[in-house]
Amino acid sequence: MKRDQTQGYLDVLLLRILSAGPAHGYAVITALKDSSSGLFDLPEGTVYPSLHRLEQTGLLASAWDSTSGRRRRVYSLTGRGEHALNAGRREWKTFAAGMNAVLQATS
Amino acid sequence: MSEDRWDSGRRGGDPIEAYVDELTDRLHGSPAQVRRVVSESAEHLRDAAEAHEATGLSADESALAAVRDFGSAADLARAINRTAWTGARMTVVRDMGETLLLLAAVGMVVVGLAGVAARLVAAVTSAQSVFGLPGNATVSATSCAHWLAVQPNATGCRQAGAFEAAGDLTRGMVVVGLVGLLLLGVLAVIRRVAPHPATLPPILGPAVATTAFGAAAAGLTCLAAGNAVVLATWGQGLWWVSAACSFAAALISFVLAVRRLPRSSGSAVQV
Repeated sequence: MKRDQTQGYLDVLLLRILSAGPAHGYAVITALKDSSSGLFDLPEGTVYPSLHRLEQTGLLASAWDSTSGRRRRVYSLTGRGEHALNAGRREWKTFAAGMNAVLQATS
Repeated sequence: MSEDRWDSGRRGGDPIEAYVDELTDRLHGSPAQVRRVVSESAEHLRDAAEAHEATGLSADESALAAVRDFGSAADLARAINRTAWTGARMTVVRDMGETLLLLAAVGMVVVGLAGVAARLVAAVTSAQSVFGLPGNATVSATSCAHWLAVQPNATGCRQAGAFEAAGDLTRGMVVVGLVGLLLLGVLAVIRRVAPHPATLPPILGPAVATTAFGAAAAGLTCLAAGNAVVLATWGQGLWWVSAACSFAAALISFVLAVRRLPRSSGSAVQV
């Protein structure tokens, strides 16, 4: 999948990954690659500006965690983040339904 | 990553450290923000390198692969800087608003102090010299009757007018000063209840105050000197007292500005 196509939906993808539980940036991008079977293969650093922006807008919270022996910034979904994820899902379903309707229409 | 640093990584330096160095160079923002991004990126790169090593790559190959997968330091720094500025924008706007409110409040307090100072000068000299009409001014019979009615202790029309002006002008200026104090109190409460990191250079407020009060002092001095020649308006002495108070405020602001001069050119603004 082209990189700019993924970027447009990166926020909602990140929210979905973090809805499974708190995770640090490397775990998030790994989960994104794994769950898309390698389809969403972004430059890994791309995830951090998006995570920071989502935190600034209150959709994510983050804190340092040293329990694994390494100091990592762990991100978690907030209540607002959950609402935004649900809204993102609805928008995607509507968009995908529209795309399918047009692309599969018989002329 | 720049070619020099790639080469440095290939020649035996640590590619991850070279990448982190380049990222650090390119990031803007507060030291805390830069530390956070650098620390997150370094940990990510080490995790990724470990994962590559687990597939059988050598340590050097793993580090290079981790850096390659992470993407360009320039692109990442640009995106992070843009995100940081977006987040800081509202704080900068608030900081500017607070600075303007502070300057306005201090200006109002100076007006109030000038009113009190004028009253004190009038007590030492005379109400006529500070608040009164110029000697050659004509006064209507109606105004004269009104002043004498409200100032029964006055010995004549001009003195009654000066007493009336002293009361009205001082009261008005002190009220302005009290409003200024109230604004300072409100500002202190806002800063205590909802503190935020400073985004503007600390010298900015005193520097602007020095300019504003200096301009006010110069303007009031010109008005006072011109008024002394033309003898046109009320409050001959009030102009001089106000000019002196503005000059004192400019001097204090200047001292504060000098004390807040940045120690080095890089520490002035941090967004």
